Amino acid sequence: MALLAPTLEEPAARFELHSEGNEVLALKLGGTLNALTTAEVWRELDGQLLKKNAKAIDVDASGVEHCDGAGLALLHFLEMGGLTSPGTKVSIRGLRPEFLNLFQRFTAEDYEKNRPKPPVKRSTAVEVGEGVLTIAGGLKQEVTFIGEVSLGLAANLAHPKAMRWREVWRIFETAGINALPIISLISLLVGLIIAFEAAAPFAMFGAQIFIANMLGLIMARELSGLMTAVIFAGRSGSAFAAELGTMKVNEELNALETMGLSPMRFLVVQRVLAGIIVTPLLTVYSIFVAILGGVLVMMAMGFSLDTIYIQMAETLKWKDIVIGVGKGVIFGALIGGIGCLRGLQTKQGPSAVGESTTRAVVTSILLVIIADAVIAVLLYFLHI
Amino acid sequence: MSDPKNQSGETVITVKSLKIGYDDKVLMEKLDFEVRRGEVFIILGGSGCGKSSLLKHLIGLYRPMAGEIWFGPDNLVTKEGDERNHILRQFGVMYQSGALFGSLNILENVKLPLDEFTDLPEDAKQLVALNKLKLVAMETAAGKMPSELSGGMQKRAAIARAMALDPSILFLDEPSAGLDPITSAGLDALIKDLSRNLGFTFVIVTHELQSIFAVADRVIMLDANTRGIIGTGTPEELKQNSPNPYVRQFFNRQAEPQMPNPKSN
Repeated sequence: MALLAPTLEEPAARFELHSEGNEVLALKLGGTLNALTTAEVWRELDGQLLKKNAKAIDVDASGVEHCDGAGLALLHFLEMGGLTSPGTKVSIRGLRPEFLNLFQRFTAEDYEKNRPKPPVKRSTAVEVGEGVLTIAGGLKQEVTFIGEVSLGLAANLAHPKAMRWREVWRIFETAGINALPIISLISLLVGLIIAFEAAAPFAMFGAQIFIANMLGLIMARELSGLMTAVIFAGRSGSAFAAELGTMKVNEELNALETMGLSPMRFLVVQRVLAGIIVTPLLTVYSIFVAILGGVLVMMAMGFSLDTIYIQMAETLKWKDIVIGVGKGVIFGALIGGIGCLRGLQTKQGPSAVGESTTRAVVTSILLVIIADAVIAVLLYFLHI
Repeated sequence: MSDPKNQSGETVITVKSLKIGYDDKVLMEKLDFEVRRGEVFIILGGSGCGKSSLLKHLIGLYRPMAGEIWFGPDNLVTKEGDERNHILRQFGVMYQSGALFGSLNILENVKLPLDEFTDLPEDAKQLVALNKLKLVAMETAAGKMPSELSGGMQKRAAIARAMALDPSILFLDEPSAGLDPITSAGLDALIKDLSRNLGFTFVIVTHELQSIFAVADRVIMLDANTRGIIGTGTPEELKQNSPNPYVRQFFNRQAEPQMPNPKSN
């Protein structure tokens, strides 16, 4: 008789297996069959019963003193032939009435019908088709959204009193003013890093003074706008998606609609407008701070402030700053819009808001980079 | 899982001089009661009186300010580490919202405690989980996600998860809250079945009168004003014979007495 005890304190399960001739096996189960003891019995029987290759197994469960869900699972699996070779007949007898009541409540049919099935393999054509439909559906939603936001913006700007300016100011404050410390730190450090990194290669040609030209151009036309957009997407685009997503999950958007208020005009327009105003302002601020960082490095190299100013003014024109600010407007509209769209697309379930937030940030950054590339190509061909 | 015949009056939980609250705020004090094996024990009281807080103290989520909570020979309040975890594993809990994990399907939700605490083979775990789901008539929803289920179905699945490790006691927090009368009655029938036929002990927090009359063996009623128990007994006893008028008022579903209108005098 095998005695299986997981720990000294725990009760044990017993089983005894012997042949009764004519390829019939007798299995006697006893003791406690619970979640702790059953695992060991299961593994032992799994190996031994298959090896014996019997035609029939007579299971005597009269010795089972305690049996919980795991013990019943063992008996069910034995009865279903899960531990024996195909065609082996298994009969169970002697189970105490209290356990028999539970045992009979679940059948092999219940298990077969409801156990997890491997996912149905679909053809590539179906998957491609579904993918295309999803993309087309998403595009349709996005175009509709752009149209609705444009209409909402136009309507609110035509009737400024209808705009919830307090909400615009609140978003302006949280997305703009509260972002100043992080924009300052990152811009200053990037300005410092670029000046430092450029110093050595420029020194090889005795051209360190041109760091000022490079820094002004690169920050005004390109980097400050991009950095601000990425920070805005991470801080505020995600917040827009989370805020609107939570409102959707809590049915606040339904409440708005049943009150006859359009979520687009009540919630989205303010955020997109705040994005359009805040991002270019933050971009200008970032240009200033990043140049300050570079200037500090150049001053440490021994250049005077006047020299740096004259050098920078030679290359950095107003149009470069306007380009940076213009990009800020486009990036702000994109991030504000995407944040709100993803928020409105939030599905049900506890992870839905998190998913919307992630999608908002990823899509925003992707679109910002694509827009930046398109603008760069356009400016090149327009010789601006 | 206990023997259903074993509804013997053996005490499984003993609460002695329990004082509960948050920070400095005392919610309840001098609580003394016992829960017996195989019975459906109801904790009831008006909204906000501290029923759910008491439940959270009983299941070890919060530490009481004073007093003792005995599960058989073990005092939960003084136990730490493995000894405490051993006590906690003796019971299952269904939270008010069901608290199913949204990223797992129903079968995976029920299987989760088995994955974490047992060494059973996968087939065994699936069988146990499906068996528990069958007990609450939810086996056909095994592959569904929680978000695809109604509130009543989520609560049934949550009961199945609470039963996964065959605990001796099940704690249910407001099982009927927010359910329609038919679903609520179905849940009551399930609780009765699990208690009477399978020997589960239930500790249920609720203030749904119909459910209380349908399933309760014994009831304690809490009162926020006196910060204690103002009634103990069967629902019928409390309805008919309670010396406390508030308890009778509660069980007879009577409104607060009207304030006299000064203008009518």
